[in-house]
Amino acid sequence: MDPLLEVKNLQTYFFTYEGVVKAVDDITYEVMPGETLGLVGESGCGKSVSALSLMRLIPDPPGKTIGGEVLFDGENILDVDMDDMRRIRGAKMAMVFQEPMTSLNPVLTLDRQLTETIQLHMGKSREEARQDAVNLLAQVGIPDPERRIRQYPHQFSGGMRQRVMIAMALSCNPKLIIADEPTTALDVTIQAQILELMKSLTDTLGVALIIITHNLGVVARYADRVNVMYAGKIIERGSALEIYTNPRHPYTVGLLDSVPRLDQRLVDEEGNAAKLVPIEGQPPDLVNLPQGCSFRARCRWAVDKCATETPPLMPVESNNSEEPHVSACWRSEVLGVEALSYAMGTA
Amino acid sequence: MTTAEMPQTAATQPAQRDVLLDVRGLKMHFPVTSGILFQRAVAHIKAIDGVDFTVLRGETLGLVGESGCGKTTTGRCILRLYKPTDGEIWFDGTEIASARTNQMRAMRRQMQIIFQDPYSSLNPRMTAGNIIGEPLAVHGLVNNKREYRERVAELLNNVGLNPYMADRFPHEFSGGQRQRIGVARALSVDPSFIVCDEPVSALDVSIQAQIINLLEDLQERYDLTYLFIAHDLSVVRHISDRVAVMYLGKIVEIADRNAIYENPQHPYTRALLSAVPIPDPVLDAQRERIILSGEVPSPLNPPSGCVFHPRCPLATDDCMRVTPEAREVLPDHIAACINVPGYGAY
Repeated sequence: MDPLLEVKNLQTYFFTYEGVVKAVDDITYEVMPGETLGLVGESGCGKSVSALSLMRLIPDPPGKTIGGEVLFDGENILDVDMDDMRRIRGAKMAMVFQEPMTSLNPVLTLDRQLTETIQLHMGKSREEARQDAVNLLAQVGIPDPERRIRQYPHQFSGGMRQRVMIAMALSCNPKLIIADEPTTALDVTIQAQILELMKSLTDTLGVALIIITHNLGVVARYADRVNVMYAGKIIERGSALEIYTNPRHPYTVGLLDSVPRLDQRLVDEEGNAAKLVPIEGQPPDLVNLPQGCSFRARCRWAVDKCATETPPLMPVESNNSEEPHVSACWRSEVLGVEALSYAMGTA
Repeated sequence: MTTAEMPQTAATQPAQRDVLLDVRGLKMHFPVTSGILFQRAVAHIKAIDGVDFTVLRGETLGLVGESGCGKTTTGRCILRLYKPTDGEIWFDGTEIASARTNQMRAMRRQMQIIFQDPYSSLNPRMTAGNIIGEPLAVHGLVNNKREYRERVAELLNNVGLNPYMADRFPHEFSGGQRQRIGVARALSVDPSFIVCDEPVSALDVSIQAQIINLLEDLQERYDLTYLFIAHDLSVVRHISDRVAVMYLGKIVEIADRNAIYENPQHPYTRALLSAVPIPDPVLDAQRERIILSGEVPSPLNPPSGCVFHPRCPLATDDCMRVTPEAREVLPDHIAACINVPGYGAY
């Protein structure tokens, strides 16, 4: 099967007074039709910028996608002009943003906001578009859609607004939906509702989904494959199962180690309270990245080679031969052994 | 588990332990006003509606719930940043819900708060040193400039910052470092009790663990008592000794940490726990998942009877009429639900 989306060596830089911020620096990945891909990382690692680059929504200036290719459905969308891009955006690939509070227009009713895209992309009349919009709202679980569609965003709660955003993203039957931290602003019980809804809708409609998040739990539950990002680069990729049971990059190991989990043991063998193991230090400044591996300064396993040579994504030993597991670490073999003892400690 | 054989004395045990904070029947109703010149209250938002709990000396009580459930308001009432509508707050033998402003100022040497947002809770025009040092001056804890500087340097050291950073302004620090300044400010008056109001939720995952470890170390070193308010159930599980779960202005369940997480009794607690994903695809797929329908109702017009009944999978007709009071359902395990087995057995 051909991939739906191929991102090759994408580079998006921001040219600021302080210097060039390498927000996305040479990342490559693909999305298969209908699959759910997780993009995980901390704030500032470039995960949102990489998504905005796909939609060609990077503010220019100061930002610019200076290299790479984004093949979507066989077409390099970095080459198409803005008019063509407008036809792709919303129609073939849609986005769900983090903040449902600010991503809807507060002075327009939902009717206007939902029908606009449908009329524009699908060439439907206002009345047909309205009927479609009502059906969509019902599909995303908004009760009484006929009445609710005439209301303004402030009359909806946070969870309901995110449902509206999902309805909007689905409105033109896209092939790909990019969800940028779709549930970060929501409460846990609402978060569960929204994620279940997105998963079931994308499954039934066969839409591919990229979930961008910092929450490792969300990715574990909903993603098929996972990309872990750090300082503008993808540093590990594999099936969700592989990433969680056999992490082979020190950053991934550190991330898994530093999060308190509901299934974690609270006392160790000697009966002392278990401590979290934080990743020491801060993420690096993207203007002034160190030579070699950018995680080196915070890494327990760093050796001299890490300071001079930037590790590329290299295949590692995986329990599942069909799905390649790659890690950008010179010491992923050593790590495999030590990370195993970690996994047993929390089982 | 059979409840019949449990000793009856369990109910009175908490009173015999060393209680630092005892909150009884706390209510905080905010008026909703209308009118331009003569504002009158047209309704009340019942942010907290009758909350009882105790915090023992040296322990951490976790307070969890979704946004708008009243957990932050509870923390602020205890520090008397709000004047409670009703109820009593006993802190170390003194009733403070009705204390005067100047009495309260003296009390705040004992009790401090760490705020959620390290970006807005530090004055951008003050240096880190002055932010940490201001409480020292307010409470007259230092005699001269030299003592002041030494104490500020010591506090910075204690929270893992460098003393030379005292002259920097908040914007020169990262989020995690700012939260450390917030911790140092709370520690400056040598309090015995600290309300931690979502201290890590604004921080990145790899930084959260640093702050959690810092709070745990400080608790051990200075014998602190924490009220730890958070919405992240995994963080609360890690740091707390006992946990209270709030929903729409009421506490629905309080118990020992292990009891809450391994044997939750209230249907809301169960749903809340099942909604938290675990970063392990295999384990996570095996867990029971309860997806609650609907949303938290408005505290302006809460449902009749049990406030959780419109979303509750166990709700019966009685739940619409009877407001369940918090009762022991197992020893030292309090829940407010009439459908929990053992409710009313004590």
